[in-house]
Amino acid sequence: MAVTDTRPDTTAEGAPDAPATPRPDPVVAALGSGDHKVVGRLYLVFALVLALAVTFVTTTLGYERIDQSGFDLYATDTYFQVSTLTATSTVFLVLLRCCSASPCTVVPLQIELGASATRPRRRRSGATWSRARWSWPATPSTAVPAGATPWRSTSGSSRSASSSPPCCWRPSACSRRSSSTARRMSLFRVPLFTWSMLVAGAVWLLTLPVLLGALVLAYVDHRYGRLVFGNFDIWFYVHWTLRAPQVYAYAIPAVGIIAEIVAVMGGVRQGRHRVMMALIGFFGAMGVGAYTVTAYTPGHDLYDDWMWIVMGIAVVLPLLGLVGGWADTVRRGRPRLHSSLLFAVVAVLLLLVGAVAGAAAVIEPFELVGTTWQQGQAQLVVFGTFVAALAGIFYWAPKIGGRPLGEGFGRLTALVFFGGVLLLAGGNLAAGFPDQVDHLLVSTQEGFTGVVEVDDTVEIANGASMVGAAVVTLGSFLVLANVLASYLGRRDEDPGDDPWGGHTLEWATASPPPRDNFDEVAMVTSPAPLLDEREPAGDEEEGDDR
Amino acid sequence: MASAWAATAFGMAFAGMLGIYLQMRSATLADGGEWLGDVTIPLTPPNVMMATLVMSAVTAHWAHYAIVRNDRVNAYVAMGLTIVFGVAFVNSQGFLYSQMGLVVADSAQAMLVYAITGTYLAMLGIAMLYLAVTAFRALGGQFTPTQHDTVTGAVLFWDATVAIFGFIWIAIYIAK
Repeated sequence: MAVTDTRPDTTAEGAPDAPATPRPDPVVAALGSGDHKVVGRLYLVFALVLALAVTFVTTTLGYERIDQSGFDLYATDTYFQVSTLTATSTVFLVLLRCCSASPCTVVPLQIELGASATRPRRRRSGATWSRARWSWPATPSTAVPAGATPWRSTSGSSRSASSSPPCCWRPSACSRRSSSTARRMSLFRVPLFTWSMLVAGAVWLLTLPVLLGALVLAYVDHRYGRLVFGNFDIWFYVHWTLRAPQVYAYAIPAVGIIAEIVAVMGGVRQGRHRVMMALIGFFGAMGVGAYTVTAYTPGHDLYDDWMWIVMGIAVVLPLLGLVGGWADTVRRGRPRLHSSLLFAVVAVLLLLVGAVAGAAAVIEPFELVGTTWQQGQAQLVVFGTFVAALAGIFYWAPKIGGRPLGEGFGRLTALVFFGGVLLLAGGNLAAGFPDQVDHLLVSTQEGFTGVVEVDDTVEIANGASMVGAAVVTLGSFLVLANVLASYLGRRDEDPGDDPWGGHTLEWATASPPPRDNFDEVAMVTSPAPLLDEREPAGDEEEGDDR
Repeated sequence: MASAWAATAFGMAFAGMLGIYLQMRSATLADGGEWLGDVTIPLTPPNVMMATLVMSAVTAHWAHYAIVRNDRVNAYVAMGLTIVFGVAFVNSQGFLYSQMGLVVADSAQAMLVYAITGTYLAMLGIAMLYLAVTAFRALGGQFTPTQHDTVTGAVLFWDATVAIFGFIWIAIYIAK
């Protein structure tokens, strides 16, 4: 029988209305969402909670390290396992996650990616949950003597998932043919933050898989008799990810965030856009540290590695160039002392000091390799990046959660982080000069009992480092409290869709943005399209932006 | 684009593994020791495996060439052949494992060889799966001469897989 009957009109008069689609449970909606904005919020929440936990554990480790005459809080084996856990978790569970929160939310908005780009969002959601699922077993697995095997498997999974977000937003940032992106948007007109995420994604995809390869070898070795790495030597093949030059790869998003904030809070257009892009690219290139995967092994003298020396000094140059560009922007404008700008200034200072400390480390007469100087230098860069990520969260808070974060709270937190990181890293720098060895490197020696003789100066420096860790923990708590109070508390006033007078496309939509992000596609003629609408581009920028 | 970056990431992972392998080999030889000692890895199976993968790269590009010209029959045949070559490679690798005389838990060298080649088999499996899914989608009527990005991505990833084995072939089977 052929089906030719016309379906009865279900909307005929008297027919019952179609039942309304039930609203999903908020928790279910968040957990199963493919919306990049929801995924960005999840990254933020996980990052802040883990930051609080990791910095607290770092404080306890700092207490143990003050005089190094023995262990009070941890067993000997547990101390070193927890040390490696916090060192790697700070970067891979906190920093990279925090650096993913803003890009997940903001990058598609900056290039005006419409609702049609759903496929990348599902991968981002999967990456979030893959990292969340694998990070929890990593924590208790190192608290038992035989915990190394579970740590390797979970950290490897976490790191593989860490590379997944760059795979998602990089195609979005690279695409110029998508009909849902802003018209006439080109690679040279993308905002500096999007460009920095493009560079960061490329560098992470080039370097972090090397770590994954090392972890695969370590896992197989550990499974079949520990013939290659034994119980300790695997640390030498992981150590490079937490030291220069690789540590600068994590700071690439920081320079993009700072560039965005300085221009908007300064109220002027960022000059020499392509020069700034080139400097960010150069800075990113100085963070390609995968070649050092075998450089920290015993018997290898880093001072013989000319590339390590050159990159250690050269990384200061693009950073100084960027700082010069930002200073010029601030000089031409009238900066507002918003908490995001304060965070950005703190981040710039920490990154600069970290880069200079890294340049000092490659000078052979100083003999700083293998000491806590390198640890302090890495902490300056890592926590400087973390502070910059917080600057981004404060700046893009209206887009992430619909309202700004507490301003007074924010300024206090920026100062807390400044003091805390300087104490934390400064203590290690000060202890490194009298050649206090990097604790974890010493621990790999056979027969090491955990006792190291240190003099009073080093004890004081280690004590300062512990206090710094406690202050950073307080700062992490303040940020988390600020976020929860702002987003869960009562909304007193509507700050508007663009409270800062933004320059880029994310501020052209509602705060928070609707599901489809934009109602219509904008025409882009420069990297600061909203500023173009308010004022025409100056003559000196026309060559850069067109 | 995503396939290119994934291929690059895999390449860097193997670069790291081969870097560690070659660094340990170099340190052992510099100390006057022997790397593989009395173990003899036959050369014929790895050479056949390399040749098989080179042929599979040709058939993969044949599939892309055919889909661009809307020659679907040739595209199906080429994709199928490529997957068959992949299966042949896996079979050859299994045979080589039986002939090598290396036991994974006996020495550090054996562990490294099995870890690297085993990971490569996993990458090849992913490439074969990618190509198989692409083939099924082509059979379902997808892909046109102007819109065939998935086929391009699958072929690009297959090329990377072949190239990476080239480095493994030289570092492990030729250099020994």
